[in-house]
Amino acid sequence: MRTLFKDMGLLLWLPITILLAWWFGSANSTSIYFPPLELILETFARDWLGPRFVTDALPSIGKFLVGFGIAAAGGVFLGMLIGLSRRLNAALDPLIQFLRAIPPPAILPIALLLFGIGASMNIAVIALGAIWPALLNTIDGVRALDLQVIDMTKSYRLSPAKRIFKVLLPAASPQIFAGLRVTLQMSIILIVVSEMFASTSGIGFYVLNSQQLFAVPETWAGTIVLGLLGYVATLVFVLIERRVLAWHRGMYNSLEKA
Amino acid sequence: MSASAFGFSLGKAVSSQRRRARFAESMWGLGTVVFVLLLWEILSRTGMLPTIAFPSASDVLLRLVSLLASATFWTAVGNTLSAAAIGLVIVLVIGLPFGMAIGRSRWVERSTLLTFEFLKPIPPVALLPLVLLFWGPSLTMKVFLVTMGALWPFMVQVVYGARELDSTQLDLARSYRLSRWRTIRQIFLPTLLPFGMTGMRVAASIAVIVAVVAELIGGATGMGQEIAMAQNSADLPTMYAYIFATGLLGLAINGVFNLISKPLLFWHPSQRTKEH
Repeated sequence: MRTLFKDMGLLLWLPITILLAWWFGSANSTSIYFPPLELILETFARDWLGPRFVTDALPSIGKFLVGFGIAAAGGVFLGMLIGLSRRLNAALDPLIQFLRAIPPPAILPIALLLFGIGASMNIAVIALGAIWPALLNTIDGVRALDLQVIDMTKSYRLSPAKRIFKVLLPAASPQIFAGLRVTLQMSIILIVVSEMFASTSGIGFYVLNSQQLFAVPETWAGTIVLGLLGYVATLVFVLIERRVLAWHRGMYNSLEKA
Repeated sequence: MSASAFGFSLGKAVSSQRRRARFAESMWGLGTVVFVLLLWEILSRTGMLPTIAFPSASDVLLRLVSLLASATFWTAVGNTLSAAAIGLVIVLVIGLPFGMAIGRSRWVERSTLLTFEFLKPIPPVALLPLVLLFWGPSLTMKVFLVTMGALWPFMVQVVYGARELDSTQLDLARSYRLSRWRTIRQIFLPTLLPFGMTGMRVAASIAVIVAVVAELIGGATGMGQEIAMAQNSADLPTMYAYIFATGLLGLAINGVFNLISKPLLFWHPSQRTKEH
């Protein structure tokens, strides 16, 4: 019990100190750039726990989820196809290497020309820009599969569906999830950036617009919302990953101990 | 004697076969690239691709070639690269001691855990409006964003590396009274280098992405701003040429890391498996 308290104290002293320092340090602040934390939190509660949550936050989260879903599913599907065929992999590798080297936000102007301002543009940017880590990791994961395992699935005459869902995907899943995590981070960056670049609503739009209007507490409040979005999305992902890869961690730990 | 000669000739035959296979593979890759460019050219010339969004492939490539000979282009590349590079140096200076401290001391690790785990997943671009407010579209603003984005992936690797340090080796170094320099060179460096290189590789690609965003949206000078300006004047070939150039820059940075990791890490297992 005592050690538990000690550990809690160790975990909490720094965040609490930072928050207290921020709260009291900015309490009587008259600087336009650093409004009192109290004001920031009031603005946050007024805007984001109110109507804006429905009008701006929910659409942003929706676009982000759809874009991430397309990038993740597309990356894993195409990665399986490419990873299973040596020739296809050889043929597409240089093209893929070049496309993934382009910083994803750089394709924003092209997406804007193609789709105009609207949800489809945000989704397209995420789907096209964030697909690469999922794609490349799936290719690598599938290619790293033991040849004997593939022979085994053939001699057992597993149906293609069984071969993919019971053998290939699970075997490649640790690497696939590592790729999906990067895809997730890139999707968050891209929803924020694409809303800043060209949008009339959404969290990204709100923050950049507040900055341009010199609405400083609103800029801070929006930044907090974006931070929370990134934090919660990563947290949910890690929880799902832990569940899906529980078998892998168990195996890994037992190997480590042996 | 004969066995070794046999082994030698067999190895040679296998390697030449492998080389031929690799050559065929790269031909396939080249073929795809040429095919895609040709397809793009035909589709855009015949109007199958919407002309408001797609210039022809030849227009883009010719523009890219003429840009490569212009001073504006290289100034933009220099601006983007220098912001990324300064940011990475700061990341190195901050990330190395903090990562070491977290990896070596339980007290530091537990104390910073919640704070860092909260800060890590925050997208660096979320801070863009705030830093624009502080510094405007400047180099400082770009460098700050780059640092915030590239710090975590590098520091995480340093932490892993610091945990790998062998306490027995460190004790040995102490009891043999190795000089500080020799301890660093012979124990710290070999353990940390592979992790540090991995971290820097990830950090570098994030640094370029963040720098381009800061230019594209924040309006700082560099390749991102050139893309935005070409877009505003509806100069599609230039816009595409700059977007392609950012991809080439990414490839070049990756190439540099491959080049320096070979002589630096030739002894490390990760470099040996590359042959297959």
